[in-house]
Amino acid sequence: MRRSNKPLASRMASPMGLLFNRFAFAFLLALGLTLLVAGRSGIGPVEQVRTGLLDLLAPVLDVISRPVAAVNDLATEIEQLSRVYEENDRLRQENARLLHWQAAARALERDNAQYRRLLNVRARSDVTYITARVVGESGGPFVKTLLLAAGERDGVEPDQAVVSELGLVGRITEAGRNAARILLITDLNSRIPVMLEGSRRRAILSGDNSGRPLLAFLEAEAEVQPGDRVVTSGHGGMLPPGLVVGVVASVTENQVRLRPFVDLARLERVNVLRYRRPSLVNDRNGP
Amino acid sequence: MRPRRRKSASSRLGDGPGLPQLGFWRLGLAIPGLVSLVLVLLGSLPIGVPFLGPVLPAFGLIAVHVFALQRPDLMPHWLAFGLGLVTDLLSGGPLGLTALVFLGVQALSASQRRVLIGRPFVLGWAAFVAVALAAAGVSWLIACVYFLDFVNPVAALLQVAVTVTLFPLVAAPLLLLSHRMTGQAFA
Repeated sequence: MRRSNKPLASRMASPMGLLFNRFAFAFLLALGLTLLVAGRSGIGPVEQVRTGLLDLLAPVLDVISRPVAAVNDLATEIEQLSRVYEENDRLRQENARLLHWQAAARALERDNAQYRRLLNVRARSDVTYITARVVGESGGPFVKTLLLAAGERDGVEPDQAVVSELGLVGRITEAGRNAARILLITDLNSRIPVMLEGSRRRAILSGDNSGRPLLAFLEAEAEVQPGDRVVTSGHGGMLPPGLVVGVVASVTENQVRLRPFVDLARLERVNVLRYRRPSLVNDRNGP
Repeated sequence: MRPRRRKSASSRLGDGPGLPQLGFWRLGLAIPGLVSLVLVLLGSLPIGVPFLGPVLPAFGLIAVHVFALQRPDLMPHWLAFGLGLVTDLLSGGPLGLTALVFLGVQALSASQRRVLIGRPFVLGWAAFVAVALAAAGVSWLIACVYFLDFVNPVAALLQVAVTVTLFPLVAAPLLLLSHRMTGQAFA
């Protein structure tokens, strides 16, 4: 580092170089500010350019994220190996309990089907899944997003809900040809219509970049306690109703916070729901 | 005649003032940029380390700072800006935010060459703490204005803490690389 910096210094200090340097700095500063303003106000093709570039970057991430995923899997396996007996015991007990529930669910399903037939209830819109790999996460402090190695080519479109086997993850905000971006439920810009599963009271799940999103606009008279389950309400028609989201984590005088079921920091594969929104026009699924 | 000419060209290359000028060695000039790009990409991988879950370290910031300090000619304004832009694209955050911050860091770090070059590593580390805090402060301000909302600054500070802690691990190989590139190693 102390060796011969002279030529470098002289090159940098040449008047032309200095002038060019200053011009480049000012130009890039202006460009950055323009991008911010254009991105914020939706002027110009910022979104399209962004999605296009995302498409270019996604395959690169896809490749380099594979070894990382393998290491993660190995770490998880080792972690699980240390708790295998304890886990086995817990699962045995849970299995016994679930078998009981399964019998109950089967009986209810049969009854339900019968009642539906009797009342001629309209069937719920078809929901199909696209399973895709998570190849990147925002990592930044101001946004909570994930990158997905699937795009329009695979049927992924903006506004589709994304779930894992445990519950709601977020929704698609950007979809390129072979990559898409998920806005997590914890992001500052995420607003999801939800309800308390027990009392059916509605609220808006509102992210604030923390791990515990807020339940906003919950009716004042709604009784809510930590541990209450929260599911999507399906209002607004964007997400299918009844997707599990999480449980109420804390209730204070002016805010109720939710603990998501999904560990959003450790997702490897997710399901994108292809949900046909109910609409008044072109409805071919009527009774 | 031709071989002789080639010989004289290569000897001119050898006479070069410490900076690689021609041919294959030009590839060497791209190394800081490529290494920084890899670090930026690494910074957005779903690593899933329990304690790093909420925020990942800003590896790109370390790369921009170290190279701007050691070899500002190989970390020009446009490269820092471009690396920031890639970071923004990957994170899905406001496009231009990290680009502006990296541009500022590049200018700031390059201007501190006289003060910091040749000083003990600990001093360099301390300087990076200041740079990282300034970068977090500026990006937090931009984020607040962009979202027209009070953005929680805790995550940004947490990222500074994680990045600063990992600084020696990431910066040491980068320093080694830039030391090798200064002088004859690549020329």
